[in-house]
Amino acid sequence: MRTSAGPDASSALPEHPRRTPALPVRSALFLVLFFFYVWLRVDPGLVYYAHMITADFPFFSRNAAFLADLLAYPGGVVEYVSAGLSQLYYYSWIGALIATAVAGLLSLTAWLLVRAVTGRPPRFLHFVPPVLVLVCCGRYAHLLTGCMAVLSATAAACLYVWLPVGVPSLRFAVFLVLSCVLYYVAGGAYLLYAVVCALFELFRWRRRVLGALCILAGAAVPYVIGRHVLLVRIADAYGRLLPFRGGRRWQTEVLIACLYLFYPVALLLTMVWRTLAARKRQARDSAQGRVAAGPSRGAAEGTRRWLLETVLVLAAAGAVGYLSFDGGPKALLAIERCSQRRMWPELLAHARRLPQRLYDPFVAWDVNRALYHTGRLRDEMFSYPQDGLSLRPPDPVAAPLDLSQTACMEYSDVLFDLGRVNESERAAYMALEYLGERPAILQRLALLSVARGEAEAARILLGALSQDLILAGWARRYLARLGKDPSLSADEEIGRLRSVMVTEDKVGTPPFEDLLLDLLRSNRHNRMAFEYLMAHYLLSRDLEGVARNIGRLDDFGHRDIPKHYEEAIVLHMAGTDSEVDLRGRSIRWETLSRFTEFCKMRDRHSGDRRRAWDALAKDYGDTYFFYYTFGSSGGTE
Amino acid sequence: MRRALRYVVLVLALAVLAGAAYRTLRGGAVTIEEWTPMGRPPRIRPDYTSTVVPPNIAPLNFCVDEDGDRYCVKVRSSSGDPIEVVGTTGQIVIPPGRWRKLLDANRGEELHFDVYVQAPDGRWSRFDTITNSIAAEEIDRYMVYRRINVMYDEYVRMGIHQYDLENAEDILVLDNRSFDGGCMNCHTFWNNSTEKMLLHVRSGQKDYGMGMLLVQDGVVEKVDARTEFSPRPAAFSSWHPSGRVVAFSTNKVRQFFHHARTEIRDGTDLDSDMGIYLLDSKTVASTAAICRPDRLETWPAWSADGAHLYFCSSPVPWSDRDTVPPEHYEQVRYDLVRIGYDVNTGTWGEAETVLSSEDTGLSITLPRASPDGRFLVFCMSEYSTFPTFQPSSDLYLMDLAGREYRRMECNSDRAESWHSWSSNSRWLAFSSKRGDGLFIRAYFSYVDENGTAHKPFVLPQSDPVFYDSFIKLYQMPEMVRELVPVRGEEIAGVIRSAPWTRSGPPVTAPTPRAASEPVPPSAEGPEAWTPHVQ
Repeated sequence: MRTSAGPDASSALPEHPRRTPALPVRSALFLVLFFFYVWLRVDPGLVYYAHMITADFPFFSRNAAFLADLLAYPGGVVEYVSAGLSQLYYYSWIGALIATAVAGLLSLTAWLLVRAVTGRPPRFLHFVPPVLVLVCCGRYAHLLTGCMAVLSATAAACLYVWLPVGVPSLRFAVFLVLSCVLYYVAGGAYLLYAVVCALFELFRWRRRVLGALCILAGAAVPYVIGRHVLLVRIADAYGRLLPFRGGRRWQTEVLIACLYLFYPVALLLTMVWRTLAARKRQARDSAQGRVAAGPSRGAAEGTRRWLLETVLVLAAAGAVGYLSFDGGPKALLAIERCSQRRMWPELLAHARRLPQRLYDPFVAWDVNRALYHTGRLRDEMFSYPQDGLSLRPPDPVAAPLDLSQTACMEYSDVLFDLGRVNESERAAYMALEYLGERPAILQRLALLSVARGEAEAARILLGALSQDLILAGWARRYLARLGKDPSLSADEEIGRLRSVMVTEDKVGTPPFEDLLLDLLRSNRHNRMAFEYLMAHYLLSRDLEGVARNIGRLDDFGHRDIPKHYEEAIVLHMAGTDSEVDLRGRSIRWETLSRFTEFCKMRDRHSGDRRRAWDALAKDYGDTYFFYYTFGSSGGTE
Repeated sequence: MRRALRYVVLVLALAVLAGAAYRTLRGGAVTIEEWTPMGRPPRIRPDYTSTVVPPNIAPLNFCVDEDGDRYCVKVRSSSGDPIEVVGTTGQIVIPPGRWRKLLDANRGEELHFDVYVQAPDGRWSRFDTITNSIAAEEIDRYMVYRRINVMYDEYVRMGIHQYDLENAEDILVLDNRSFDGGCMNCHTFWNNSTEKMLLHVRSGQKDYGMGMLLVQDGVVEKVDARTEFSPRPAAFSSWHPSGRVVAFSTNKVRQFFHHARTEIRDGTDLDSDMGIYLLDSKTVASTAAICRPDRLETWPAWSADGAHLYFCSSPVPWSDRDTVPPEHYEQVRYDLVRIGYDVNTGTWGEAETVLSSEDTGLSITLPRASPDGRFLVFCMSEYSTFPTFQPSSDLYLMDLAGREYRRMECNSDRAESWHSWSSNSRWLAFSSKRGDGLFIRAYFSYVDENGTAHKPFVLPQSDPVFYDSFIKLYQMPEMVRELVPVRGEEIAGVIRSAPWTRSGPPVTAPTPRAASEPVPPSAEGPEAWTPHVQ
């Protein structure tokens, strides 16, 4: 059947690519290296732990309500699948495998599209999408949802361009059917499909009417389906899953925008390049009067060339991967992972290696928890950067909204360890509101409910947690234990919490000092409350507070005075010229001697704070003398 | 190609046959000739035992919490074919069509569940029959509620939903994401009808203002009821039976938290007043008796005939109306008060105390008159204006003829709060934390002609184990007869773009505030915490 506007059905099809085995081999080699690079160098498992500190990482539940919630929006299918796959990043190698698969499929669709639109297979262009994915991985920007949306759109475009139908009306019908399905599946990414299909029709076969119809449909489908069928607002109808809609950092959005733009731009540029090259060749041929047959290349030369090109591609990808890799997020996420898995010595080791510029309050809070849990807070606290805010996060109720959103789970962590179960639960519920039903939050809430004797509420929270892909097993085991013993009286962690919980009810959001003192009133053997109280006094330079509570060391069987407390007592005695009742303990001679030396050096630079800092930081940066003098510790390498 | 297709069809047919055979053998109809009586009722969840259900309710699907390999439940009544549900799990999903027929044919009769469980050795056990009753009177078909997380101070996601009680279908009315994470609360309907309704909204990330969404005959209008004398937006409201007036309270609500109490959250009105919005003239009116500066007035509720406005009123136990928690917050107890009002002339009567907190020793909140005018149901708790945060909160019923009141039979040892009547005055929907102390669920109780409330049942769901993992709350259940005529973008679009209709000046000015306690017009910014009563 012929049409007046275009070629016949058989000629409408793109040429099927000839078998070029060298190309798949190169791609396979690329992807194998890609996988190992992402797995071993990037360690995508770290991204999973970002879910507590950023809303960028999607959460997932097998709950029907979660699915229904997403399916109410265009793009919900892609969001659902991506959220499910994202959970598997918990296992680093599976995360690498997913990233590799997505990169490979994006590369394949690029290859197929360029091949279809230009009539010739690309040699290097199809490596651009996987390299972009590599950059995303190396910058710890979790863009699986965006990549999946692009993949859906380009896969649908491939289906369209390779469609063995040449009749424009039929092609348009197929376009519309694919449009409806794709729009529902991938939301705003549908626009990419419409643009690519239009380019194909316009430039490959010069079907201007069909190309224009594709563009028009691209504009109309989101309006009709999104606005009138799914009843979503216009911004969501067109923009869902498109770049710059997720509220993420702009660098991250630029990366995903590049991926979106790559396909139409690459197709356009290739078309222009091919047209120019063909004209040039034609001009040259007509000038020479014949078609010059190039010298045929031998097999050996072909292999050499293939090898050279392959090495070039891999080297270029490697260079981009190396240059774009950002070690900062990796270091921070490694600390976050250690914190969530309560790997305290490892956390401190990571913190030791962390460049000072990356040492933010989140790290400081984790480090102080780790120092407490490893029994080093009393003696080594000032070996790490400290300032007045580094002991614990602010109460999310009182904090500015942005800090409250990111820090409420950290606050819940500290309060959980301390035994302030009500405040920990309050912060965890706020985290739930901000970040969604993430497994670690549900787990925390379930434990708190059990500790507070609310076994029925704990069961429901565990029921919700059993819909998670990773912690479902833990939740089911815990539910079984609850079934046998609703109070979980034999559980060590629950027992610890119950032993340190406050017993006297008050209301309001008291200062941190009062929270700790209440804990000590309820249980004077609450070691963490005591050490955090002393750390609080140390950081707020309240020497009187330290002196007032030094007698509590008796409750913990300390015969000696821990290093930093001792330093504070020395400062207090020097400042007030008074004695402190140390309950039979004495200040070590070395501490007094160090203090004398410190004062001498400090006095030597008394007029110049900067020089005094430089002179004292090396030898005294890890002492409380230094912190007390300068308001921050100098003890980091 | 054809051969391949044939193979595919064959494999599919075999799969269907195998599935059917498996279903017949394991889950289909079963004849139980012998069984061992267990001598006790089965453990089932949710608790659908000894309750009274409406004849038009969706199937009460439940889960049998007994160990076994197979389960069989026979649902039967006086007439009609019994329904048999057999399965290999304890999850009993009753076919809706047959359920509907059975209930419809047996109004006023008993409804029995016979539960059989088969042990691994093949022997069946039969538990004592569960008996419920089918009321003669239907329940209003829909329940409108707010779905929200357990909330502390901040919110991100919430939605107004509508639940079809006959088909167990949840329908989203408005998701707050559609207007950039704003807040919505206090959906109020006129005479259990969606012809006229109110919804209070407040901006989220973008400033769309705050106020009432007034929906009349499917048309949405934004009404800002704030005035010079009442600078806070309307919160709790009640439609006059005539549909011409809406009574509302303006509340300066704050939340605070307990350190060791099981219910962590608590809340209070630092200040509150009341007024009415006249729909015809689009003006706000008030009278001194409902906005006294020395008292907190809230929870307006019209009587069935519209001649009286009931509300709750408490002396202000604190002098500082900004400090949270306020001093003596645990001493705030509300009286039940009513005031006459003539809707035709706009004249107010005298306020009278119907029930004093001094007499009850408890704080009275949330009065709601039954549409037939016979009863008034309210909450009483140790203190506070927010019963949902008080584990001691229970529902009480007052016979308006003699003003005798009593604790209702449908209470539990945990907080019962927000209740609403069905249009025929026979069903009471209410919020309760009885299941676990934390997650609010909607319950329904049959209230007979004597005012006796029968054992309530939880909102039925299609999935028998739905409540095992659902951590959102069913807040503010309100029963209505019809679907809400507008939803989604039809409402959100108005919130985002339409201008606010400013209410006119007050017809009757309230008592001027004392000079020491001025309320600046901007006292309640968009960041203020507005009522999230759960």
